[in-house]
Amino acid sequence: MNLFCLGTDFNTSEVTRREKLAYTGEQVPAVLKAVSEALGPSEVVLLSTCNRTEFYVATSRTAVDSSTLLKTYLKESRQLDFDLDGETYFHEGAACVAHLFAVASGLRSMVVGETEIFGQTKEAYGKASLAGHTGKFLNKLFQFSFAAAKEARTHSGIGRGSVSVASVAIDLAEQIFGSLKEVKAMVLGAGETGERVARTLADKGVAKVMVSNRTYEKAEELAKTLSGVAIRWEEWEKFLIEADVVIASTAAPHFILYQKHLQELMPRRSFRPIFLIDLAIPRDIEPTAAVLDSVYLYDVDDLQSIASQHLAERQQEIENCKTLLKVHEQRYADWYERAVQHGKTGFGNLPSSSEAVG
Amino acid sequence: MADRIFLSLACIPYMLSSAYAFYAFGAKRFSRTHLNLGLMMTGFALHTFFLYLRAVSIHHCPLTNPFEMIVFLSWAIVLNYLLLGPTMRVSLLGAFSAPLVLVINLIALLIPALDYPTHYASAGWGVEMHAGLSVLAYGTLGIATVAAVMFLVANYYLKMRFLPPILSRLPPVGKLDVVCQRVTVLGFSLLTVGMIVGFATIPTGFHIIKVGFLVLVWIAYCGILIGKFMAKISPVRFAYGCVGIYLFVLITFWGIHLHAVPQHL
Repeated sequence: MNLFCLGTDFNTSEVTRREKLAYTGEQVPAVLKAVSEALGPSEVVLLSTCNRTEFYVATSRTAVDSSTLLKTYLKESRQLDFDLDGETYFHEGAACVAHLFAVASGLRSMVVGETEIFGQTKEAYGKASLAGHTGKFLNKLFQFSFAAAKEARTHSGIGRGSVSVASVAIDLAEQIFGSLKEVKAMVLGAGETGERVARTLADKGVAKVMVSNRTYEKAEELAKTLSGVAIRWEEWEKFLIEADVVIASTAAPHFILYQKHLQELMPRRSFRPIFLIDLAIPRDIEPTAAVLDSVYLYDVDDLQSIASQHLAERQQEIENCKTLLKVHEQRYADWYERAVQHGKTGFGNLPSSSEAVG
Repeated sequence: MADRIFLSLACIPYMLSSAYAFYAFGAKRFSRTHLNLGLMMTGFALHTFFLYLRAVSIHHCPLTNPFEMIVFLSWAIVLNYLLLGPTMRVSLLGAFSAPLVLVINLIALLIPALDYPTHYASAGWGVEMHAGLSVLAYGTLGIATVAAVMFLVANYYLKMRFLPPILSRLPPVGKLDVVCQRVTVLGFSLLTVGMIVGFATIPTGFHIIKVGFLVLVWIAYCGILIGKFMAKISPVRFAYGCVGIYLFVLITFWGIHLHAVPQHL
């Protein structure tokens, strides 16, 4: 039995071409069936996400022959007007195993260490298994990949820390308040990033979202999408005493919230902590407000810098993660060898490494 | 006395717990809080056994000399940690409590002059209760101080806009402030009851320095609590207040009792 993977991702292909090779969840069973028919007796799993489309195949044909057949099938079925050789990668044997383990662990993701890919891989395997397109080789391969990914995530720092502005803001809010269920948020202005952070907060189930904007209609519109309440611009300062998190992203050319305002406000709030997220350029909140006790002020650079720091830390963990995965790769290779000998199929050992792009 | 060996043994798990806490900070990992809890429980068992042996040998509550008092104090800190830590879901409290308990015990063990034999004549249940409640109160206030230190550490990182992995293992600053305040109230209440029992039952000849010390500490805690409840002082200042007062207690506690006449608790 020969294992191989043929795929395309954000590194090898532009989105305009990648989208032509992407499949929706509903299309997957039919594609798996068609590929199985095209390749003859084989096991197939199709992983299709916004960043990658990959076929994992275990077949009795040679991997190179099978990949050629698969490319032909793709070109015809998707009516591609470009050559697949330059857009895809091909991993065979041990390289295929290593690739899948790295994919499931998030090492090959656009945002290194992201966890969504793990669920997507599980789902892809589940669909193929349910449709009867997996056998003992791919079953074991994917089960090993899940164990490997779990260990990599647990014992390395690959998934540590948030890597987007919105998720860093949420992490900080949780570090200040704990559960966000009783937190009240105030959104000032209707900037895009501010809206994204507010939406993430709302998804976390905050107790109340107040939205204020110079144009009241815009505030109402945003408040509606966030299941919050709109506040007239002239009144937001009055409601500030209630707010625990303030997201400021107005287009004002000057500060709208000054240190002296907060200095007066904090005793009236019984020094309840307040988390100020200033996403505006130029900034909305006087930076010196950060010196006040119980005031936690972060601007967009602070959040971005934390996100970048986390991403850099994840990059540093890649080698550590690869070392952890190697152990699982070897375990699969040992299992594969035993399975082949036991089955007396005579297909030989898992090729140690064979990798080619195109 | 031979019982000191058990206190020395108790220091080993406390030391391991402290070492683990420092390692966790250095290695930026903190996942095995159950290990810490196990170490603290082992230390507490040995610590308790020491106090039991001492009580049997002197036929009194082991509060008859400065050595016993500070060892009882550190025992009260661990007891409070074990009782309050899980209840308030502040599992990391142990990592912060262990070094404090270790230092107190090492000071007690390394200064032999503190452990002198006394010809203690019981002044009645009131005096024993006053002493026991007071030391228990200092133990509780010790835990409040540990929570205050945790608050200050978390606050420092958040203010510096630096999020080391250890920060995610600390409870939220808002919660730490609440825990610190509640435990201080509990400790202050115990201190107040102990003080009232003391004033009500000590018949004659109370030691003016001890009483002055107790009243001073009581006023200090009363002051920061009033300030906190009236929103006159911020959580940061309250936390600094807790740490400052407790440091004062730790520095002066043994000295005050060293100069006091043993019969006068």
